[in-house]
Amino acid sequence: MIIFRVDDRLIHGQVVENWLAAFSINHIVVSSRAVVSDDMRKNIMKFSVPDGVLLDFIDPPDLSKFIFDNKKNYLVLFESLEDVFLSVESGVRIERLNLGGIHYAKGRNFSMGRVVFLSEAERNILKKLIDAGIDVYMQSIPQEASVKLRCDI
Amino acid sequence: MTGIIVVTHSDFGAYLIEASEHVVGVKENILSVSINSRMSIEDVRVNVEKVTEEIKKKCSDIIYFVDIPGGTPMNVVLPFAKDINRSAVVCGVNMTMLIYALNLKDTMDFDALIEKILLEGKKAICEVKSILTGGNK
Repeated sequence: MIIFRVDDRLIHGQVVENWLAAFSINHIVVSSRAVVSDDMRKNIMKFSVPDGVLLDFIDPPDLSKFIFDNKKNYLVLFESLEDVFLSVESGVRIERLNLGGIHYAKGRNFSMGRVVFLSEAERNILKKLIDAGIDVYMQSIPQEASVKLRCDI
Repeated sequence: MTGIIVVTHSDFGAYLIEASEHVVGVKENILSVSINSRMSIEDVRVNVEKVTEEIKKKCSDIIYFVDIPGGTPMNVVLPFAKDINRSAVVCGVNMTMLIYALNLKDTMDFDALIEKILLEGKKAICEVKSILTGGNK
């Protein structure tokens, strides 16, 4: 099983204390352009991952080369929709995409829900992903109802 | 002097300071940052930077208390702590450790202070009903 999630906080409380146990995740793949060359953030994330859960850092354009073992449960974390787009462009196939947190920042004027705000450029990327057949839903924690995003966003 | 900054999910830190000061009295050089789901990481960073600069005006040493290991407060605070020579980031903040920090700061060596805070904070986590039946804690 693979859960693909966009979360600009990457590995944080909701992930460590909730998603991992809820889906018996044994391998986290952080796929973020910014993190690949940031040793400090990598070290912080390595500390945060519980024992027994593997952690890899993969540049989004290289994610298509990553070999997923279908006996394992993966959580793939993207930092942004751009990271998702880069990985999809390089050939990664995503059926469902969880939007777990794209927090408000200046220019993110489209509010999709409590924890998802998009800029014009991000909205265009999201439209492309939905048009490509990806089932995109918002859900920050597993206990919360998921909200499907439609292509007429 | 040693300053204290408590960074937590929601207003837990602010209330923890209020509760601790209820026990030991109001202290100086202690601030909190609350994080909510509407804030971006950048907002959190800006707020942590603001209180860090505020504390630095009077204090050379800073103790950051955060709630859970691996949470956003810890993730945001670590890069700031890295650039401060005498600083520490203590996860799992509880009221006992905050009370000890408030009472003992500026009375002892920084490393010894951190050691003492960790010791007392851990000691405070215990099951006590067993005392009634003669069991040991």
